[in-house]
Amino acid sequence: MKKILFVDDERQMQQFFLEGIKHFNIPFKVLIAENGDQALQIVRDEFVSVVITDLKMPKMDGLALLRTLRRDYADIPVIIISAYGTDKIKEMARKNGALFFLEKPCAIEKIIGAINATLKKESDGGTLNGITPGMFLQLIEMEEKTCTVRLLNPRTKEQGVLFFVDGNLFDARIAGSSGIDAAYVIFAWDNVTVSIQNKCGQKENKINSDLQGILLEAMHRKDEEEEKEDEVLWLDNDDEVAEEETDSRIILDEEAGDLSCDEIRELVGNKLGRECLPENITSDGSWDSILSEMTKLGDKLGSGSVKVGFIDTGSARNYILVPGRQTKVLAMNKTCPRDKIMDLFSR
Amino acid sequence: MKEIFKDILAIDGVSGILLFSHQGRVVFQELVLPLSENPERRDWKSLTTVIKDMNEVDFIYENSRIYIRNSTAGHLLVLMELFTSIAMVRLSCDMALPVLNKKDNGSRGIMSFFKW
Repeated sequence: MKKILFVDDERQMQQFFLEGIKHFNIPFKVLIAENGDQALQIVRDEFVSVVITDLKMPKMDGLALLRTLRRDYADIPVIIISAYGTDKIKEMARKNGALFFLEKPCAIEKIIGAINATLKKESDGGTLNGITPGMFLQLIEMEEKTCTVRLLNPRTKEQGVLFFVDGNLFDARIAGSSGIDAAYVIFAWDNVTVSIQNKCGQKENKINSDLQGILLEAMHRKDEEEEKEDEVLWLDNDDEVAEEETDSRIILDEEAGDLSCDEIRELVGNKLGRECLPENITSDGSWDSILSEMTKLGDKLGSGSVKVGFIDTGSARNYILVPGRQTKVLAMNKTCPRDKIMDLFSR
Repeated sequence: MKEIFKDILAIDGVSGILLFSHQGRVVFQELVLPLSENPERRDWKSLTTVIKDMNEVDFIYENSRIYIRNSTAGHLLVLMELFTSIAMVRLSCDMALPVLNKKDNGSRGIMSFFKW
């Protein structure tokens, strides 16, 4: 299923889009981001087919997002929806590669129309099913074609994209990876569905390697992966080994959770930047009752041990709880990016 | 009631919903995989007591994530896989809870004679 990323900081607009799209029987999965920063995080992790973005947003605005997408994700088309449709802004959006500029307020039919027109272009060079990528991509090389090839692995539902300029593989992308590593993954797929777009937005060669070499390395890696999977199957049958591994993992988890307040401050500052630092961090046992209840709940629901918790009490501050021998409590104002901090401590 | 929560349940990775009354009773449950023990048989009073003043509780565990929202109708718990988009879950809860609260208000009067 194709994924559409809708980027807008207004909850009302998010709801309008989600509600609106439901009335059309179209197989899109909608992802939501509140700003450009969040959108880029989603684009890194998920295989997004279209981005629809507002312009005026906190942190990273729509134009900055558009520029970054054009540079790093040349295959993802961008549609702008904005109430600031001056000629100058429209021109800037067009120059930066936006395919459509829709003015707010905008009917949902218009947005759907723009999405469909955008996605149609993805396969203007045709679609093929049950293809082995290796053979097919060598043909593109021989024909010295410039195109964007989108691939779907029907077995795993993974999607990937390859960028060819004059028959040279310039870049590759799958969810969570790009460049030659993504190419190795894609080249190892079997019986894929391929759609070709007779255009390539990728300007820089990020691969710099010949197709034959990449194909051979991909096959080699695939063989190694299959051997590893066989070994894991053998290990899984050995109960004692599995139990020992689990025990050592629990010990590691407990140690990792027991950071001092200063270490937590340093970790957040270094990994997420100073703007993400909580107002204060304390060792505070007063939250232990909720932590204990949530731990019991997790046990009942088969969720495992608590990594990190978030609490909104309705006061001016939100709280993040990091379990350990002493619970650490991060008090932060409402604008602090809670998801980023939770993500950091859940890893 | 399933109709109110259908959008939340449709989110990729959401594996269940439990609605607790403020007294700690399970008033609705929809779980993709049944639990070893039926949650309706347990008393969740100690949990609902500690979270009674919280608007929102969100815990990430080793294997899954639990998101709880407080409302006049009770505490809505969403159980999900770690990869689930929490922004989508929050937004869908924002949309579902007013409908739930409206139904709950209705059920206290004459509407309490009707099942919903």
